[in-house]
Amino acid sequence: MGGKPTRVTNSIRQLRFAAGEMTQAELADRVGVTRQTIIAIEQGRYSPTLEMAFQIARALTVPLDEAFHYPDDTESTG
Amino acid sequence: MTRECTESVSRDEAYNWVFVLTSLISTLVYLGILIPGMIGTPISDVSYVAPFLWVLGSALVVGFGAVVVIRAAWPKESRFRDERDKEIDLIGQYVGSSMVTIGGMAALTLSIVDADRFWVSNSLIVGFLFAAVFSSFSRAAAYRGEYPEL
Amino acid sequence: MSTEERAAWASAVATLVVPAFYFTRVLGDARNYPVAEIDYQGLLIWNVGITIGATIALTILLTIAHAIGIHVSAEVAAAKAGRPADPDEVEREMKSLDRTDARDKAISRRGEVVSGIVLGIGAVLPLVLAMTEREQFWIAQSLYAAFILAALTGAIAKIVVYRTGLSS
Repeated sequence: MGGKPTRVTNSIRQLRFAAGEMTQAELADRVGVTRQTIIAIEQGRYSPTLEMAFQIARALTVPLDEAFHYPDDTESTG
Repeated sequence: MTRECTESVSRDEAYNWVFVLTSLISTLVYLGILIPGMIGTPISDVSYVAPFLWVLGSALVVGFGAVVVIRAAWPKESRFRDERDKEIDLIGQYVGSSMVTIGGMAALTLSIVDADRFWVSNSLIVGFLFAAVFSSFSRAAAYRGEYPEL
Repeated sequence: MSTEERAAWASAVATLVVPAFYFTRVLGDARNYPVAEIDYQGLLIWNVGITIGATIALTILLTIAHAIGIHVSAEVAAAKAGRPADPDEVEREMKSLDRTDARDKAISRRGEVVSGIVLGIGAVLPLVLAMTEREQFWIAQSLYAAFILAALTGAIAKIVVYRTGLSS
């Protein structure tokens, strides 16, 4: 099995609440995806495309690497 | 359909569940009729066409009915099918295509060596059935975040 | 051009050209003889082998041509700039000659999907022929045709995506 789709993690849920209690449905509408896709991204079940990641960050009015995080290779060994 | 269910499961994922169930049941029913029917009967006399058409017809009717119900039950969203749904659909099709290829190759080989048409047909039929089962299962897993090794 | 793209071009050419000989011969025979008497089996197996062999041979030829092209274009660029060719640049290009990356795999998958769909649709005819107890000859020909068509459309789909770009 390939397992989990990505090593990218995100803070979308926290940022949503910080951005005036934005619901998953609202964020989904702004980005142009289904609500379930936003849920899947928040739960780490789906890796968004680069373009979608930018759109999500924009919708949350934060820079890309505040919404999405990629582990440093030195951190992830062991 | 509870509200929680329709909110956490996208409409396309629901369609896939229909596919999972109909393909699995069709395969089990068809093989369940075919294999016992093969015992003690010369291969060229085994009846498989009628069972196949019945199973196929029933699956299409049930599947179509289920799709209609899902369309009615799912809440009106601004978007029903997005790039994640399309991506996962492609994964399912990729997994399924290998089954059709194997079934087709077996069928061609059997046809060349003039095996009974029963075997040629059923290589194709089993190829299609397994393709349906494998593709829908891999889609269901991908929706949960388990992607196959590609 | 990666190995996958070269293979796609090779496959497209081979599946277009080689089976044409087979079908012309065999379908021509079918006009003049009862199909039950036609010895198509050996021809078919040979044709499969030659198609595969031609695909491999063309892929190798294209790879060699690409390698030569790298050296030639390096020399030409150097001559224009009035300096000797940069060996590091050439070495880098040569190394990436057979590299297979995520893009190649993604495009390969797209091609397989197209192939699979064409095969699935194409296999309906042989299935119907087999279920209605038609001659093995026609079952085999329609199956082989379905495979060839699937391989051809798959290769073309890959070439189109490589040239026009789609997936990330």
